[in-house]
Amino acid sequence: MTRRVPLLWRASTLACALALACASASRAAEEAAPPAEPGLPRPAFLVAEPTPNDNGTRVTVRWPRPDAWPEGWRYVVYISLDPSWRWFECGAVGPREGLLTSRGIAPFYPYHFSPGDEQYFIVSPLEVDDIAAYWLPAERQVCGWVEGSRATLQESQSKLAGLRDLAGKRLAFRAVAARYRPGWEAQANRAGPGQQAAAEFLKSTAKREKDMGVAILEERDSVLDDLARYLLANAVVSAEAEAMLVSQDAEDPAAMRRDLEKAAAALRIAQPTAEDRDNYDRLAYALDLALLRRQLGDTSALGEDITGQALWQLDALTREADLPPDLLEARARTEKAAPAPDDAALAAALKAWHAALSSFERDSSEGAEKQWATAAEGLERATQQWQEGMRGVLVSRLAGGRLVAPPQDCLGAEISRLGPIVEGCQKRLKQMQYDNSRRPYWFRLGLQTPSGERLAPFDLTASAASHAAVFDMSTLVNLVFAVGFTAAVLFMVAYVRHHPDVFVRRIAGLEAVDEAIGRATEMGKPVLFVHGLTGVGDISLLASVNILGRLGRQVAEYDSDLLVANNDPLVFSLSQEVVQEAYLEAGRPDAYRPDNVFMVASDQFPYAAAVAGIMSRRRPAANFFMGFFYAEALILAERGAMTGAIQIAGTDSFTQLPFFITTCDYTLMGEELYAASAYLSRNARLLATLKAQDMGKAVLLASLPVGTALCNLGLNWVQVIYTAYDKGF
Amino acid sequence: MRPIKLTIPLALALLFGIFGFGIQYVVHPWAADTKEVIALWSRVIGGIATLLGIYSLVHLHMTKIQRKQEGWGYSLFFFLGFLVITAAVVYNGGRWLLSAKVEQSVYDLLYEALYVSAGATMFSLLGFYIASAAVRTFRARSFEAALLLAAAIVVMVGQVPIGAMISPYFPGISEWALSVPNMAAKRAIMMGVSLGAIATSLRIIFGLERSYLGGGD
Repeated sequence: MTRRVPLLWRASTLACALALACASASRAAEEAAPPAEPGLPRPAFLVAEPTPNDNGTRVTVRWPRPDAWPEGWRYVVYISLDPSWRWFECGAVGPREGLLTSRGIAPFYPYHFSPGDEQYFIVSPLEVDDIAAYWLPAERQVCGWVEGSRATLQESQSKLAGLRDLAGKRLAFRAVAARYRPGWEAQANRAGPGQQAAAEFLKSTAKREKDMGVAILEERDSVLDDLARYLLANAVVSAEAEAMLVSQDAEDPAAMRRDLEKAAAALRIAQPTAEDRDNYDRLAYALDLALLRRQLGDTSALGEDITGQALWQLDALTREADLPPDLLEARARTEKAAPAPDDAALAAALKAWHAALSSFERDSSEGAEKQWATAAEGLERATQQWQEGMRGVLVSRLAGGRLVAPPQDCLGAEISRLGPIVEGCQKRLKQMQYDNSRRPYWFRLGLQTPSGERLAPFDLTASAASHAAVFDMSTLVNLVFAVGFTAAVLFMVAYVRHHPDVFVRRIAGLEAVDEAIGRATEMGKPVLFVHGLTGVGDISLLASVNILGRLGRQVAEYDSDLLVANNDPLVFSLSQEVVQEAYLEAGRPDAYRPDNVFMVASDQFPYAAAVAGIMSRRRPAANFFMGFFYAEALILAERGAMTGAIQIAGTDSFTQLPFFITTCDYTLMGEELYAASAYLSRNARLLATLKAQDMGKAVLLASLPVGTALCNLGLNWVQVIYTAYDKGF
Repeated sequence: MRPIKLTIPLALALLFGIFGFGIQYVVHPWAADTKEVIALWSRVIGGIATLLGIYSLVHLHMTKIQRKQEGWGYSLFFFLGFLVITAAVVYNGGRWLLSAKVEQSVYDLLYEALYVSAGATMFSLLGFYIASAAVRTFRARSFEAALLLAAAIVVMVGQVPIGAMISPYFPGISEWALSVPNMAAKRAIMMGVSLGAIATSLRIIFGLERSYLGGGD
């Protein structure tokens, strides 16, 4: 017993100690373990790279996909110009979005051999609105003003023409009304059955005259608005240039040009930093604006002439319309009085806007952004006030009395002059957008909770600039197949030089061509050839033209008539040439009649109606429908069947094939259309290409069962090849 | 004569054929700009060809009227329509030809009330033509024709509500016929068509096919 007690004691003590140790270890482990991460885990890596096969506008961000995905959580992708700047959200990714390795097959090159599950997100920085706010607001604004000033002048020119037309109508109406008014007035004053009608007529005539006068005044006011807007655009562009020059401390364009040359020389020597490039861009832009301002300054007299010319025309037209004074006075009373345009206020508002913009570019905080938005509102108000004030000035000039005619048509000249300036602005903006799309951007990931709340982003960042690829790797399978097929064609063409006997199966529709033409010749009726509706850019049209060439020669040999009805001017010209040459080849140039190849209509149903009419009237003995057809196929073929003609159709439009099969005597289906020319020529080199086609079909036929079998055995490399490079195939 | 009529066109076909083929595999913005320029050339050539087309139309109908050919009265309507539409386009609601197109003008009225309606009338004729073509086709004169007739009846009945009322299997069978055997046949045709189109293109690019130039082989 004495020995057992200590043993039991020891055992129980040991057990307790072990239990305590386990408990404390467990507690320690619990204390030492990091708290469970909410939602999705932090990715092990984040990669940003130029999007493959892209034209240089997008960046792809990718990261590992977590094994478990709690419901409702999403990764959020942020973008910035620099890690120290503001970050903007550019998209969220859910569990089934942007998967690079779904079912072990990546959707596109080069990720199809990606080792594990990854997710990707493609960002087009130019399309992220918040980021776009940083870009070129000043450039966009000036481009908009210059474009707007040209559009406004064009509109004014059109309105002035309309106003002339309205004035003429009013005068003509008044002249007719004046001729009949005495009679109607007499009838209105005489008691009788027509008295009321006469009174109503007089009233409606007066109302019509007044309405026409009001319409003229409204159109006139609209032209005044346009002129004020045009002058505002000029003023803003000048003030803009001023503001930019002041902000760059380079009021003297000559000095600025020297600075620009220095900057350009420095940039040529050293690799410029992004900041240098920005400064360089700004200097260049300021110089452009200065030049533009000088142009506008040089032509300020022209601007005055334009306004003068437009006002003179308005004045002349208003007087020509002979509007009653009470109408003019009533209109004048509705004019709102506005203070004269304040150039200084406009310039100050622009300057404030530029200052806010450059401050926003240095400091991307929300406060700076708000300041910029306030400045933009101030600028909007200033431009509106300036425009209203200028409109008042124009109205008073118009009301001031007879205006002097300008020496020349400066309105049209100004519109022409603005054309290249607008193009230059657009080109510059496009170039700057292009440059901005290629600058490096920064990306990071954050989380979105099921309730839509954004959590603090992970401490992972990645940077990349987009890059334009030259070769589109996603079309690789297409290219390999095309090169392989071309090689097969060339091989077969070389092969038949030594083995000219090429067997091609009998095609009933083509065997019947001779019979159809012979029948037409015997009956003394023409042969009709119809191309389908596609243009020369379509390969089925070229196939049908090839058939037409062969057919034309046979028809010429049989001394029959060939009618070709076209619906496209280019196809018409081509057909005329082909048929003429075919007659020449057949040794019957005298039998060719150019009137037999004609254009009937360019639209679908007028074309169908015209061809159906030709079938009814000319009763061709043989109809050939070759090419790609749409809904007109059945109208044509059924009409031909009713006339009793022998009909041979050939189309690769499988939706129209059933209609041709039911209504035509022979139908060339799909590829037979493309084989027809070679078949009819019996030329060994052309027939060799049909053999190459058979080789291509054999490859496809073999790959179908082999690929299906391999996929069923779990070997999906055939599928990987076809899906990873599937674009355009 | 031969270089102008044959060698130069064949050389141009080879050059532009290979260039047009290669540029499809290039994604650089330069390729997109070049395609745009080539499309512009096509539009310019198309514009010139349109004049030839108009000349052909006028000449065709003028000849018909001069020779008093059968149906020459319809050619008068061609000239009537041509002149009225041209006048409406030139007048442009009082703004004349060089201004932007005016909405709700005489041209719009003629286009919507006459042209579109006449086109819709032609299109509606299709319904009758389909019926007459179906009557001619669906005669069970052979085993294949009988099979076609049976398939057509099943597909047609399966597509209308009464089909499901007759038997719930009809829509399913109809759907299967369209999506399995019909789709397989369509795809087979498409594959053949694609190979045929590529072979025809290669024949033209390498100068093997010259019929489109009007000459022999």
